[in-house]
Amino acid sequence: MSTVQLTSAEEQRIIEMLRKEDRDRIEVILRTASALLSWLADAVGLAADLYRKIRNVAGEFWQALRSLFY
Amino acid sequence: MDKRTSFLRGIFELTQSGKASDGLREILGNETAQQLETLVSHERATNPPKVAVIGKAGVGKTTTINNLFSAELKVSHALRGTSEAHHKEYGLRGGGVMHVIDMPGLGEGIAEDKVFEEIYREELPKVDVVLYVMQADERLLGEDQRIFTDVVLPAMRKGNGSGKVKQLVVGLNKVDLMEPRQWNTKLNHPEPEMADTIARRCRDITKRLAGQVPGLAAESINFYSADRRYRLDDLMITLIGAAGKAAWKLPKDTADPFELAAPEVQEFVRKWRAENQGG
Repeated sequence: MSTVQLTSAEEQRIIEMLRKEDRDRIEVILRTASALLSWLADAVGLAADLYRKIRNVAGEFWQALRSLFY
Repeated sequence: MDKRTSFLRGIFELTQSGKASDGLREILGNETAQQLETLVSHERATNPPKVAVIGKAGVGKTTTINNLFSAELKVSHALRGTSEAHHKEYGLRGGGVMHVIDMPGLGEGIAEDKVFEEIYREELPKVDVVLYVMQADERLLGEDQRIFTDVVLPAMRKGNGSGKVKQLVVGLNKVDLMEPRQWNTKLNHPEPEMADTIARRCRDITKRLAGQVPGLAAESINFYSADRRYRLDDLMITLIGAAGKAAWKLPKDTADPFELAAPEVQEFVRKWRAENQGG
């Protein structure tokens, strides 16, 4: 994956920037999913049954995700 | 993609597009996924995300909104008593809208300030998150401190006690204009010396602001450049934290900084993403 116009130092810097972008995007995904699941947990009535279903299906990582941010 | 990743990505995509992905359907089952879609769409339609953006003229509020959310402006109308404060509606990728209250900062004139203060008190308690945009320059802090202490924080504390105001984010914009100005235009990124200076000086500004404005938390302050699209993801993460459980409704399409880099950099990035991010 070489580009003639870029030095290896420049390529290295770009890769560092892209890796940071990856980490940031993962954090955005985690925090967004966590917010939705926490909102669902609070949205009693209409969402209560749905919340239980999702929790049952995705139970193996449910608690870990919720405890990340809330 | 493992089940956990597929679930998280599926949930995220649902919040952005309103549609459950195949992966999410596979994990939850069609019926549950459909119910989730319906609930998300209903909530977005009946209680759309609401953001207030405050800042003086020239601090980059509009560029910030455009590059942070990449949403399309549909409607804009002036709030009563002023031609400068606007209620804007932005269309979202998955349907529905985001409401943005675009507010000027105070200090333009005594008569205008009174109108704006009243609008602050009326609007700020209703929003999911407030983004206060200011220029990252130590010399300009005095007036903003007064505005936080006298107007913004009391307006947001309505019925909320006197503790930290969680929904407030302060964005220190235009860090690309800081000295030494060593912006690498080929990469669209500051050179290491400039990046270090930006981080150090913004830490100082953050410490000073958080120390002198009771109720303003240091973790609610972040620095970026809307023009250069620098650290927009960092600002987005701060906004998500401040918006709490309503954060899932915010659009997360920050503008790509590499689009402003040299063509050979864009080509390198395109290949790297294809190889490492599956496109």
